Amino acid sequence: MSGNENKPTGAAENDVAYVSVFKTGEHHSIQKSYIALAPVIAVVIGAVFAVLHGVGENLGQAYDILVKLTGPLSDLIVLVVLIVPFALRWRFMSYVFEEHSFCFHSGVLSHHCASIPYTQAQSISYHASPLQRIFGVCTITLDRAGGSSRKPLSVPYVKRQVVERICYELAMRKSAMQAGAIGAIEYVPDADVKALDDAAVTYEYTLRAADLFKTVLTNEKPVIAAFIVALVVVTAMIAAFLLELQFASYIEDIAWLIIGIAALVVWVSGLFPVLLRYGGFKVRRRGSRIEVKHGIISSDFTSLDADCIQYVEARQSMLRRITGSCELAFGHVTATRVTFFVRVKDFLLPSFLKKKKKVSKQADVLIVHPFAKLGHASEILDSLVPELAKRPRREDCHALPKAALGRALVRECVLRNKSLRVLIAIVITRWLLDTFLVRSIASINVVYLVSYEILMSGAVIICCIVAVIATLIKIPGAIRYARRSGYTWNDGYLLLWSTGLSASLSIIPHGKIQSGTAEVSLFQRYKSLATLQALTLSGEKTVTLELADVPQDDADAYAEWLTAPETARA
Amino acid sequence: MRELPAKRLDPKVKIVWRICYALLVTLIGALIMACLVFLSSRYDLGNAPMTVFGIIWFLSYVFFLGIFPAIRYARWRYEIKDNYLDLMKGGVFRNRRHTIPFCRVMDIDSRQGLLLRAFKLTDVTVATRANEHIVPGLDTETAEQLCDRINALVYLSSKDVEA
Repeated sequence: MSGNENKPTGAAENDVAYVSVFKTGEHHSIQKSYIALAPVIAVVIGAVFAVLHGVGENLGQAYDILVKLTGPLSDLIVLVVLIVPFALRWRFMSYVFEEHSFCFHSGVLSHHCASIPYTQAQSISYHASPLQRIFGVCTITLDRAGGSSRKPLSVPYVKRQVVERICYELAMRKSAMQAGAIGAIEYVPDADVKALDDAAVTYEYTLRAADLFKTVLTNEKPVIAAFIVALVVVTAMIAAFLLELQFASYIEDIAWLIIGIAALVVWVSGLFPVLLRYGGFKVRRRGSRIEVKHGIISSDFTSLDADCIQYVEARQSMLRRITGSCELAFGHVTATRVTFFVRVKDFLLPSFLKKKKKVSKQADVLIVHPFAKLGHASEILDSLVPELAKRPRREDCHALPKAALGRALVRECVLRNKSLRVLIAIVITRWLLDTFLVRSIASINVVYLVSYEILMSGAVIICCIVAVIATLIKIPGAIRYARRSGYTWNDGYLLLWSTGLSASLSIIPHGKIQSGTAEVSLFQRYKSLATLQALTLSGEKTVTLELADVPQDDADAYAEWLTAPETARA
Repeated sequence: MRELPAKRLDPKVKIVWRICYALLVTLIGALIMACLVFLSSRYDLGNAPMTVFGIIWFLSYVFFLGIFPAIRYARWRYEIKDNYLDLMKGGVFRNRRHTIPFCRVMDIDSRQGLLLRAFKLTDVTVATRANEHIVPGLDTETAEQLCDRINALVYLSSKDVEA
């Protein structure tokens, strides 16, 4: 265990008092900084929009006309025009804790009330942009059951100190409703939320600097980006040499230096977003909630009820395998997100265009530990989610049959080999062009024909080399998959263990599996194999967790397990 | 090995599929042929591209109108069990068998477009929170009975509604 993890402080008392810090039915306004900040952001976005669409000059001319007409009052008029709409919006925005639901009221001309019953709140999160952090405010978002068909409830510009009280109040009211003790809630306005909540903390972990450093260095996205950039630079250089371009002779001696610098710059610049994201990472189990906080410049916080976890995943990329660590994540339901930019655009657009707005997507999983040592991952899960104590373990997995080896090699090296597909596409394209277009090119200019031949030959050679290297890399991954992967289930959980070059262990509670599928391809049919799939929810969409090349009999047994009542499951 | 689901779709659904595929193949084929005619006339490519594509177009008609609907119909089966819906469907390369516990079913819909209405067929959609499963091409009366039966079983099943 890491040195800065708290040991359990003891179970909560049986006779829990439901202490409320918000009066039921009382309206609370959002922070007044909304009136100042929101117009600033709107102006910045508007200015960018105007420049991009080439209307900046027109706006400048309009401002000049205003100055001529109104003189020294022009700036005041602009301020009033910018601020008054937001001031009016602020005036009519409020949130309130009703008896059975949390409501957010908004709207100047048409009143809108968004409400979430306490029992329907899936998770609570808040996000503070850099500007909001300066002013000590953030935007709270409540996700509700229903996934992509329901929008989340967002309350903007809430003071950071108030956020903790709101989070506590929502969790308290939810547990009171579930216990049928809504009438036992006692309003104590000056109650110390920290004292009430701290008593329920049973696990806490803060990411150490060394682990943060390792998390950043072993993140695969910067590595992949650097590799792609290096490949592009190499390809461009080879093309330059083949075409005998003028600058090729100048860079001949320093070609490798250029490639290295380009890859290094891309890799290092890709590390910063990861560092900013995971800096200050903290996870805590408070009562029935799992709370995760992270972010250096912009701060993110998510509170998730343990019974809203759709599945648990321990993921290990190739780089993490070298360090013997993994990333622990929980799948949970979120609703369709509307970002601030969409919200400002929504404010500026007329109503008949609003229906066509596009919403952005939220991350699918909640990462609860970005760098967990493999040997400790199980202990961390037991401490963070004791509800999963009865889950099956990786050691109990059934191995895949021997026939899975041949299938894995075909699947990884041929069917899922993207470099092979690119090579085939280029060869077919070359054949089509050679057959139908070369005559036309030759009749235009012979030099173009020579250049075309050189480029196409070079492209085929490079793609061949990349395809061969990719295939050679995939072979040990396929062998590892066939020999080490496995699956098992007990009365409450399904466990899928998939390993290869990267690895993934998924634990899905029986009650969270929406439907099960056994998929049989043409090649699997003759070997009596099937791909076992469990459909669950994560983010705003369906997630399919699967394991290929399971014996057909076990796939049938899985279907029976899925549909058996709780007492009959084994 | 589990027994296959007992019930099949209405045979008239093959005609509906053939009409849909015919329209699709004709539309896409005409578009591609028009592009090839334009390119051939502009770049003097000769008749070879159009001839090759014409053969591919004809073979597409043979496959999608003659072979594929029959395979697809043969693969499609469904059955209502005590506490789940068993669906099996597939094409040439892949078979899928879905197990949908009734306690996970959120909605049951039936849809009848213009083409289905002409053949007195209905599609039944069973939706969970994760996704939808469509049972296509059922006789209208069978579709109604299926909806009623699933509704009754969903009501009776233990609601393991975990948020």
